[in-house]
Amino acid sequence: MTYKIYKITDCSPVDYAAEELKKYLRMMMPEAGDIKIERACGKAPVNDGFVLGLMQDFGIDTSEAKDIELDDILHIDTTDNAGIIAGSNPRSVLMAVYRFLRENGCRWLYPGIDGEYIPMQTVHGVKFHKIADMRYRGWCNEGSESQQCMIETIEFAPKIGLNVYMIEFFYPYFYYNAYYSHINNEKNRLPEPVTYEQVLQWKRMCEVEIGKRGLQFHDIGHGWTFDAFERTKKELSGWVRLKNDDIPDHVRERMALIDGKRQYFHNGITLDTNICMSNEEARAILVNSVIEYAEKSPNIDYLHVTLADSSMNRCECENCAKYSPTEWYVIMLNEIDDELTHRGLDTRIVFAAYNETMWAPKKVKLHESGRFSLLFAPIGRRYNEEVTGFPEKIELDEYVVNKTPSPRSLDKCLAHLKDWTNEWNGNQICYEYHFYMNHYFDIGSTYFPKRIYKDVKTYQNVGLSGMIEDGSQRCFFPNGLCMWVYSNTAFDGSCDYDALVDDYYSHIYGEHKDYVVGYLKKLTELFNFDYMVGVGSADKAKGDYYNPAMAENFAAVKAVVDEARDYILKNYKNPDRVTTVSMILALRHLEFCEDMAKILFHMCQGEVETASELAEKFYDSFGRHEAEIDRYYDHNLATRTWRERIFKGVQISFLGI
Amino acid sequence: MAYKIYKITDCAPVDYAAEELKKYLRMMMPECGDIKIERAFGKPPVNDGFVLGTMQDLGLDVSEVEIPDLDDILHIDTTDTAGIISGSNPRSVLMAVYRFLRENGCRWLYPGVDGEYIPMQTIKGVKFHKAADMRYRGWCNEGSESQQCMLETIEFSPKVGLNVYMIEFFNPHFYYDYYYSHVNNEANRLPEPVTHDQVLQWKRMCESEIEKRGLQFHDIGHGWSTYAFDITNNDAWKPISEDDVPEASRQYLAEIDGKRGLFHGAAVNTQFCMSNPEARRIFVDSVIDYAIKHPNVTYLHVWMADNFNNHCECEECRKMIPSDWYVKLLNELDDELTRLSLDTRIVFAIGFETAWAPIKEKLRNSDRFLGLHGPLGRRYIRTFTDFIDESKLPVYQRNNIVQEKNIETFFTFIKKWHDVWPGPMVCYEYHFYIYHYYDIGTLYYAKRIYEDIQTLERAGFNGYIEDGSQRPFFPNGLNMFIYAETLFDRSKKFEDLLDEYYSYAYGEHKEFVKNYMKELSAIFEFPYMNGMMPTDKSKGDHYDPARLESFRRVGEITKKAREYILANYKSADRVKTVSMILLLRHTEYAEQAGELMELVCQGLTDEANERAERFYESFGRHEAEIERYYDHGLCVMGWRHRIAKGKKRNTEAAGV
Repeated sequence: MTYKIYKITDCSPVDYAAEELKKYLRMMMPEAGDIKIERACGKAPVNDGFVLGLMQDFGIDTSEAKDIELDDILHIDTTDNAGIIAGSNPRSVLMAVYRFLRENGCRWLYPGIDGEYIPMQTVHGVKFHKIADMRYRGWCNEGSESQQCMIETIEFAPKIGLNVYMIEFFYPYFYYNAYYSHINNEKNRLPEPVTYEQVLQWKRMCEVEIGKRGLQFHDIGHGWTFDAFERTKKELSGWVRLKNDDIPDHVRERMALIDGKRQYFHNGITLDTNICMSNEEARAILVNSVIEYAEKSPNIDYLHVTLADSSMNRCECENCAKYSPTEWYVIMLNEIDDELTHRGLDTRIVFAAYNETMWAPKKVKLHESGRFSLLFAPIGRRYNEEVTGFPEKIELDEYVVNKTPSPRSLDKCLAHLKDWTNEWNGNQICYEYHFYMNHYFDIGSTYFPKRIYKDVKTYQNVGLSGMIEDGSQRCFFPNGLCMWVYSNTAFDGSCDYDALVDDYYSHIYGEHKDYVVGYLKKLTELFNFDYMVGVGSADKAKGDYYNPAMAENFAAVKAVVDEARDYILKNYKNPDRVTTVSMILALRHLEFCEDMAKILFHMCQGEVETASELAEKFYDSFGRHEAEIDRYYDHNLATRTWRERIFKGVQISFLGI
Repeated sequence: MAYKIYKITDCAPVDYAAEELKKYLRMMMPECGDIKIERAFGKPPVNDGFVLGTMQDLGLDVSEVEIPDLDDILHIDTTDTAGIISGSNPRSVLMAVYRFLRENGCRWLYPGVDGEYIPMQTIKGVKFHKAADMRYRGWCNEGSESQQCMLETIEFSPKVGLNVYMIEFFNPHFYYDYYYSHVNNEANRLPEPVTHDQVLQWKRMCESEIEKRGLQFHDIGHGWSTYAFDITNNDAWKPISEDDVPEASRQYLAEIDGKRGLFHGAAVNTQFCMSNPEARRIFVDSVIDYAIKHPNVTYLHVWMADNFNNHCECEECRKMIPSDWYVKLLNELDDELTRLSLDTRIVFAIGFETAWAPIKEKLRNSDRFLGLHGPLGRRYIRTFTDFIDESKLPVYQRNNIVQEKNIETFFTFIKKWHDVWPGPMVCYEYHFYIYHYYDIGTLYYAKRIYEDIQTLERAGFNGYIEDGSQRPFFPNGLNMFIYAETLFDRSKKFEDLLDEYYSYAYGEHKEFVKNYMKELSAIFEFPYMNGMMPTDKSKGDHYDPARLESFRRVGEITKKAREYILANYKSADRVKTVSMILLLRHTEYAEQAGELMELVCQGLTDEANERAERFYESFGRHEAEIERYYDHGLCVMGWRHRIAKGKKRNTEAAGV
């Protein structure tokens, strides 16, 4: 049988989709011969080959989507060697190609070549039609990132149905530097620092790769105060510390007044410093910074205009007291809207309900111009909570500037969201942190996927249009089930959790699935997620991790690990490359578990110093594997998690959004 | 300033070229804003943006080349923001894009994202026009290869001006397995063997990537003489059982010492009985079948079995020399392809027995065939100087030939071939096989490659395909740079090329590095390392105790270099940091090599083998970190093969 591919829509993502289809068809059917790709604009010979293009170009109804540019409909109607593979926008055409291949048995289980499962079999016809349940299914850079993993995750995203890629900061230097300087792994890897300029070039490279696939590109987030503070964009691209004593007076006037002082917050962190929002000049400068950037960057689908990071950093001046921080934020956003409208720019703006701006505005109202999307960012939430929708009735704390702590529980955060949406009916996106530090607390990785599944459904229930995960680009240790569950549930909230999990495990562990999953579940039980996130203390006075009863659990880990190691060493070689890779990751993970249990054995008995010492040795020792597995495992972020959250007693770091 | 890109030719390589141009322009000018790509057939607005397409579509003259489909002309005529970037074929358009970027300061020094040097600056107009000096500028898989490095080298090839990518074997499992089983590095890495099916899928993936860039795809080489007769030969030289030979097929295999069967158990080394018309018909049919199914193959290499002294000794076969039988077979193949109206291009190989030009037969269709000569066995201690007296060429004796080592002899054979074959000829070289490992400082060998290319045309060739590792970039990629640059433009001077590469790889440290490498090249003298200068051959190819003092100096030299590198390795340019770290690892490599050679030069074989094994195992711990650049499997094979075979210990379950 011969195969042909036609393109009826003329754009880069469809060109790319055709190349991808050809590549995977040739891999599935190595003896099927070459496959020609031809352009057939206007006249699609749908009986002669696979025809790729927009549903609109086929005359197929897309009215089920509110906005065809944003909403992804995948429409596939093929026989074994011909028919339509289409989508409601160019990106959806690419995703429809991957869906066609998935219906034919292909899977993408990790980023990169070794994460593919491509069966060798003749393709069969597919009928598939679905609009994604969530409009936004995204991933934002976080942790320590190499350019290799950035490019690989951009490539991976549409393969698993994600449609949004966000790059935080003008220069995402902070994250790149964490990788290239090999922070937390200097004993094993020579630091190789990179420059801001190099990182900016890499960001542009990523943007082009995102554009080539038609993915939505979301940009920036924090950092817009650079002009107002007369600083460079570099100095607002991460948690840069500057001196407080050389700020010119006229700049100082634009800064938030806290405890009687106008200066950089947190003793010099520019990114954590807000402007004095009632200062019209400061606001005008900030608005202008946004407008200028928007004008220069038409490839951005959504520009995130977020205030300073951190909390308790709002201006306490007399004028600012007239409105809440959120209200000042809304005033500024309306000014941005006016100016963009004045200049004829249709730039979409995302604003964040985050820390102080969780509190909805009362005195002012955001323009409903279609320009804005709300980003609901429940940073600090706990991941052991069970919340299924808006809470019945929760009394919200009255907001007092720089006194009221940000909401910690998800139900409280959702109550704030409800409050927001009473007045605001535009797009709402959730900015989540599942893949920041939190997934590391589930050592067996069998609890957290369910948490993600339930959370995604909860967010769907409360009417959020989608999610962006602030997460490491290397969150695949010991496997990628969490990401798999996230992307699939965001696309189709009706999917069955057990079937989803079984599908993933079957593809990565093959015949060893039951054994491996069995011991992973044991590990999740033994390490106990509640204990790992610090809510299982037997005596708070002795620390969040004091619980001598847990010693028995940690002592039991070794037997599980020893048995599993024997099993894996005997069985890790497999005909499917992805299974071999998964088994080797599982092997490395056993060492990780064994060492971690030894440390926690002391920690739970209050021997904090011994535990901390062992932990430091563990970081160095396990770090020796990083070069081998760094496509899957983010040693820097994992180590930061243990250091900041467990072994040094630091509760929450507000680094992240 | 706003930039736009227009495509006037509708094909995948031009689509890809436009994306590449956009990517690098945005990296060079991160504040220039987005760059739109549009299709503009027929009417290119050359004053409004960069217009990409074939020269033919732009109405430009391509008559300076013989075959525009094969010969690459790069034509660039732009201002700072607009103009033409074109080539004589789709691949050349892509190469013209890279050339345009290169004229604007970009360089690709190694495969992968860390091998790029992309300056941050506003681009300027470029005028450039050149037809490549050599038609074939290729790279063939060899050594131990991962799919990651295969894809990265395919991506890298057009960036440095290479236009041919060859994948040897129906299924290149042998090379892949070498990597994934981590042969020669089991002490550090857990073997992860891959299946033949997986490798075949990866081969198809590579083919798609090759085609996307419009590169010439050269396929197969050895293997036909058993593939045609249903004998599994998916593992190249790995012996198989006689039981794997279907009884119906045995009659077609070469008869040696009165028996028809596998040659030393290896399918790839087994010839067939070429005088048997039925066998030839089956052989031809299998090639035809493959050609029909693989129209993406630009050149199908139809070689005889590998190895030598393995030809059929039957009475009929003795009536002509193997080359005559080979040519007869090729003509029959041509007839059948012509009858089926297939324009498949065929490469025939000249080497071992077929080094002797045919006497009775003559190839008929010069449009169909490309001759390929592989001087396997040469030792690279000198370049081609002149042909030898033809009367001094060895006389062919069936299954009693000696593997030739002299390059002049090789090329005199080719001269004789040219008497009967006026068509094009490509040289299949082995610079990047094991030999480059014998020049620790790499500078001697870089010059050898340069000199070899300079003499190539005189020896009767129109290009090279390098049978070489996909990871020959240790401690740097100078050799590959020299290779690619000189094939494209032979007028380049060696010193200029060396200076250019070192400037981009080492920046302000280039003189230090150059001197350091020169010192190493001098101590690890290439002809000596290659086993060509023993003072007493009976005591081994490397016996020369007088070298002991030199080798003892290596530790001191590398220590000094290490200190310098550690103090200076961090650079604003990523590629320089990477180059310096590679060099740092290389100081350890050189130091251990020096310690080993101290024993080898004294003829202390046992001690040397002990030390060698420690070297191989110890240095292998760096492989995961530097494997994009360094092929530990092949490198150790090179050392074991020629210098110190080592003492392999049982490393089962190591790497855990």
